[in-house]
Amino acid sequence: MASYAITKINEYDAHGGPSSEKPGGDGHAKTATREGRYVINSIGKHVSYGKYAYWSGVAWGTEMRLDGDITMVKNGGAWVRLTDVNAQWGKYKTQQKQVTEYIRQQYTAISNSKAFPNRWIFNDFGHTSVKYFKDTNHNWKLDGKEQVLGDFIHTTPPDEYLTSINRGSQIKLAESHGCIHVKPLDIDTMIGNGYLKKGNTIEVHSYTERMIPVSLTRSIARPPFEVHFYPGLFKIAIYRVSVKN
Amino acid sequence: MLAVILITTQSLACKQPESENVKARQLTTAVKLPVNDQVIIYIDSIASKFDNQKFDATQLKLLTDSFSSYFPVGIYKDGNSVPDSSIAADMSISSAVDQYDFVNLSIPENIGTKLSFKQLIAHFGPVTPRDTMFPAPKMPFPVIIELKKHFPDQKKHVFLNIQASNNPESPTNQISSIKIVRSK
Repeated sequence: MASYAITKINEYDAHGGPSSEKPGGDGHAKTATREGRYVINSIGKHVSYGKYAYWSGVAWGTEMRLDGDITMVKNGGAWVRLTDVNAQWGKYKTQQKQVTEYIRQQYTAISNSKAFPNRWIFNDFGHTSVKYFKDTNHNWKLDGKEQVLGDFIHTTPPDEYLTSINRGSQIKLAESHGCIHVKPLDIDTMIGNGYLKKGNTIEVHSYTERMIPVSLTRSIARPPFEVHFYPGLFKIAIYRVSVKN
Repeated sequence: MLAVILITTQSLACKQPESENVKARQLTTAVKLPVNDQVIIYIDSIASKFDNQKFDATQLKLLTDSFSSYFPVGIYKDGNSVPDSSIAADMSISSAVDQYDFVNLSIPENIGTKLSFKQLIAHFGPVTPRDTMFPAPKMPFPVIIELKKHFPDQKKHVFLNIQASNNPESPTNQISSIKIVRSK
């Protein structure tokens, strides 16, 4: 059987969910980030159609403008009312003014500016998300009964805002609902360097691990990189993968 | 009790102690307090002065330095000079009419998980109620505490803008930043 040497080459700040379940402020439970070895399925802007379809129902960075009191977004290349984007926002069709006022208030709270936003900066999953699955048949492809997990690697709106005003080094990552929160510039670096890439492995370690090993051995792996998250240490470590002699 | 200590500490925090006795008294007073209370005094000290347009980066640094012996705090500079476990303070003054002026305090996890909304509300006053017409996002929107009642003599509109991982009512929370904001 093949054996792979895995050697640490870099690390980044990261924050997962709580070690044991507790209620989240939005009414959804916060759960532990699930331990295991996974394979990256996709990287890109996340749009939610489920429980987060309000604030995350519009892709990060989508153009916005006002048409009188009506909030408009450029959805799929065409300007539409926010309340026409999905069924959740559709519940507010008769309350355009309140929707616009609420968005203005929240933008002010985030940016300390009285202006109306020209881009959607409310998506809970930030400018890009990394989604992964349990590769039960070890063919590095999403197939059969394999499913993408609800735990993503992503950034958050407050951290995106700090980055946008060149205050990224002030970011203090916050506990997630089970996802892995990372800093906006770090996720870009990890993608740019090929650490986070479709088909690469992500391993989530136990909350009890108290040290990041410099080297590891795995029987199933694939060069050149693996991403390992240590939830108890609030760190992601990048490892180089090579076939063991 | 905190209010009495606050008045004592505030009057001392921004000026050089005149004698060793004063210095010793300040140290004794502040050292007895838990970090949470000291951080609240620090926020209060900034907020109490922030309606004055003359409160500038130099004064923020003086104030911050005077608190740095009691809890980890420093002035943010480009290049990440403040350690991860310290509060990083930073002042943003804008000439733009639609942009608020503010002092941002980035709160590290070791302090942010202990500093509670309960304490902040007890000291500064209630949070502005959230509009429940709209659902909350995963990461709550920042919470506002108006300071009009806390500082009735302030001429400018000064308030706290608090970013946390959970809503104020949540039994556990992590406050990741507090901004002391001055509107124009």
